[in-house]
Amino acid sequence: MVTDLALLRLLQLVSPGLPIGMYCYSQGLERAVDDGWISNASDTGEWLNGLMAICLARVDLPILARLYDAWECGDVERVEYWSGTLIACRETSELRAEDRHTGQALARLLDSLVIDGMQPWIRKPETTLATVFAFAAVNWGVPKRETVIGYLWSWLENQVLCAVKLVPLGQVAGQRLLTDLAGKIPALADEALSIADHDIGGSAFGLALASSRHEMQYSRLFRS
Amino acid sequence: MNANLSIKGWQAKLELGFEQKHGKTLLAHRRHQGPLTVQRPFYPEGGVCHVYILHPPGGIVGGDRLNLFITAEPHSHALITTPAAGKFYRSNGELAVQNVSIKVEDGAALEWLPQETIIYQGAQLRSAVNVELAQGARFIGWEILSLGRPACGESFDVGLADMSWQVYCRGQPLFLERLHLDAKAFAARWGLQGLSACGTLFASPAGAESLAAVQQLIGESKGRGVTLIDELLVCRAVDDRSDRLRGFFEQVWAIVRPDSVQRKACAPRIWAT
Repeated sequence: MVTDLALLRLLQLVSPGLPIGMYCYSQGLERAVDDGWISNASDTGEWLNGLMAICLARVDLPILARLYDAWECGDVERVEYWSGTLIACRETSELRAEDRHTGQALARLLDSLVIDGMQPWIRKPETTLATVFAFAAVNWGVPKRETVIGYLWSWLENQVLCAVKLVPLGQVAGQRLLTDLAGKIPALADEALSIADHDIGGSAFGLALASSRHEMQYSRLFRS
Repeated sequence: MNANLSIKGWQAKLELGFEQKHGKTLLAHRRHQGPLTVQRPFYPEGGVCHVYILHPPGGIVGGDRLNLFITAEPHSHALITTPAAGKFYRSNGELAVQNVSIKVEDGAALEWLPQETIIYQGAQLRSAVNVELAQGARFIGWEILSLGRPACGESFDVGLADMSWQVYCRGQPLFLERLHLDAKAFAARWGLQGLSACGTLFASPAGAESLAAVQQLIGESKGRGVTLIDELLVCRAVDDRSDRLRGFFEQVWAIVRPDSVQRKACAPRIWAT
C-alpha cells in the first residue's frame, strides 16, 4: 500500500514539470518522424508500444527495480554495477548522454532539496535517470511496484508530448494514445518485476538506427 | 542431410590462438571438435594472419551447437572471415546455438568479419558474440543478417533469432545489445521495417575523424546510421538487399581500418568471389 505522502512524492517525481530537462529529449523520435517512419497517431502508437515492450520492460524497468533494492539496503557497489549495465545497454552516444544529463540533473535537484546522499552522483559518469529515480523513491517511501509504474508512465508521457510537437498530433489524439498505452503498463510492470538477471536486455533496431541518424540530423529541436 | 544427425545435432567447437613471433602473427593454437575448422592461414598483407573458418555441413539446424573461442595474444594481428554465407535453416522444433568468444590482449588487433548470415524463415536460434578487450586492444567486428530469402519470395513470418553482442573493455561492460528478431520485430517500425537485411559494425578504438568520415559516406542515404560511444564506433544499417548492405559495410571497414587497427584496407580475396 502506498501512503498518501508517498503517492504525492511519486506524482512530483513523474511530473513533466520536474526541472531535469526531459522536454529536450525525443529518443530518436525526431529523426523517425523526419525520415517518414512515423507520420500519424497509429504509427506513433506502434512505435511507443514496441519500445515499452521490447526496451523498457526488458531493460530499464528490471534494472530500476534492482537499483531500488540496492539503495534500500545501502549497497552502493550494486548501485554502480546496475547503473553501469544500464548505460552499456544504451545503443548510441546521444541516448547515453541523455541518461547521464537527466540523472545528474535529478541528483542536483534532490541535493538542493536537502536530501542526503546525492552529492557524489551529481558528477559520476555512472549516474543514470533510473539510478537517481530509484534513490528518490526509496528515500520517500514509494513502494517498488509503484516506482516502476511511475517511471514507465513518465517516459510514456514525455514521448507522447514529443510526438504531439513532432508528428504533429492534436492534443486529444495525444491523450487518446496515453489512455490506450497506459493500459499496457500494469502487465509490463509484472513482466519487468519477474525477469531473471540473465534475461535482461532488449534493443529495438529501429530505435538504435533512428537515434544514430538523429546525431547527424541537420536541423533539430531535440537533443536526442 | 542424415536424419540422425539433424535430430541429435552437431556439437562443434573451435579454439584459435594467435601469437606474434618475429614480426608475423602465427596461428599458434588450434583445436577443433566436430565440423568446424580453419584453412591454412595466409598472409596477403605482410605479418597479418588471415584465416577462413569452415563449417563443412554448410548450415546450422535446430539442435546444433557451435562454440568458437578466439584469442589474440599481445601484439598479434589476425583477420577472420568465412568463405561463404552462414545459414540457419528452418528449425525442427529445437534451438540452434552459436557462441563466439573473442579475447583481444594488450596491443593486439583482431578483425571478425564473417560473411553474412542467412536466417531462414522458421529458424530458431540463439547467437552470442562476446568480445573482451584489454587495455590497448584493437578490434573491428561485424554481424550482417539476412532474414528470410526475399529472392525466393520468402519473408520472415515465423522464427526467432535471439542475437546478443557484448563488448567488455578492461573487464567493464561497454556495450550490451540483445535483439529478439521475430515476425513482429521484422515488420515493425521500431524493428526492421520489413527490410530483410540488417547489420552492425563495431570498431575500437575510433575517434572523431572516423566518425565524421563514416557520416560523410552515409550522407543523405536512408537506413544507415553511426555513433561513437567513448572510443567504440557503432555503425548500423538496414536494406532490402544484403549484398548492398555488405558493400556498404566493406566501405565503412575501409574507412575505419587505418584508425582502428592501423592498416590500410586489404580485402580478403574470397569476398570478391
